[in-house]
Amino acid sequence: MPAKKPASPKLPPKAVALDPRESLLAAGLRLLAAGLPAAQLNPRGIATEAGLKPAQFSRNFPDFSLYLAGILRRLSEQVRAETLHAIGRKPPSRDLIRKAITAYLNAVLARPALPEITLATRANPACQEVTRERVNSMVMLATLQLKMAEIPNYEGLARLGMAMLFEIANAEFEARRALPEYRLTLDAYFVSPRKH
Amino acid sequence: MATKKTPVLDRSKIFRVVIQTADAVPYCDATLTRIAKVAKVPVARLQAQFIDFTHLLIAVQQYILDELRDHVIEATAHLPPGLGRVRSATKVYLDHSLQHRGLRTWLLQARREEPQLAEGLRRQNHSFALVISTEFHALGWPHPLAAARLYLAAIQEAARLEQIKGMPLAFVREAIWDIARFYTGQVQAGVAR
Repeated sequence: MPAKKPASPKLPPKAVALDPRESLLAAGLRLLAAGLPAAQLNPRGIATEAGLKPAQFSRNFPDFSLYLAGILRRLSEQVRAETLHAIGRKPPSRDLIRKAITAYLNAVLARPALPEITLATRANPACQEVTRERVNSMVMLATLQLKMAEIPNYEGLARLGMAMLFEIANAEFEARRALPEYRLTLDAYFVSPRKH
Repeated sequence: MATKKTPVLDRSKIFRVVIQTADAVPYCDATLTRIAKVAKVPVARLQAQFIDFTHLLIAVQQYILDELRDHVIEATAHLPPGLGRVRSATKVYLDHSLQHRGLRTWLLQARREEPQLAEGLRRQNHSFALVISTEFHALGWPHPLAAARLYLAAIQEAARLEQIKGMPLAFVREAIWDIARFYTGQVQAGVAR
């Protein structure tokens, strides 16, 4: 019996051959994940992290705001993926809504760069578009979940509920920590019978 | 020889001109010169009073938020704490926002570019949230400031949705009443149960 071929070790993300744009975006995400404040992201540092020359940054992203829009999009996708993971293929229920709310807030809290860049670039059309897409996609997700959980007026409640959820994310970003009293207040309305 | 005195600029007249112009002109075409022309005053007088268009907008935003506060007080001062008072205040907020649809559109766009405008609104929101929180506190909600901030976010979203359509939206108002019923203790469970 031939010896089992040892599994080749996974290459660390930095070493995976990506096109320069993707390499630069991946480098920015790594820097942010390592704790670099979004305001300190700069073309030279990003290019160095990506193993590229600084000139390659400006060739691929002549406008830095387009780079930030790309970063925002990827962070939004990560948040959405973590929220969807919490929902999985489970049957719709109020408890599932609570899990999705918690997953979303935890995902944003773990990525302060998302609200930070959103605020800093709110006048930029490309970044505004990414934010709009993120909001719309969350509203659609909430509408679907509330509808499947047979909650009356699911459309209105999904819209307003998402505004409340985004407000909690803002409050937690300002505080740089989870705020249980805010989460309980939203949970209480959407999930559990009132207990006081 | 007596010198001719320049009449005092009527600020509220200028603010009304801004509100009217916002209903007719997109934000990208809004300038101090345009406002001066509609108000029939020299642009130099507006500059002397407000410096530039951004500062005029800051003043108008404050004027409109003060007016909203006065209308809310007028509509609710005679009511006891509870759902009725929260509902009356919310209705005033939504109706007032609809009446100033054009200006709200201008301000939403301007706030993205002008941090001073965003900061003015943030401070006013904080005051509104404090007022709402005293209501929720009186009614026994355990986290009144959190509930007030979330409720205010819901009202603002409701106003934004109605602003897009230009009319009150029944499904949005029903959702906001449902949230109000819950946080004022009128129902024991949320989401329209």
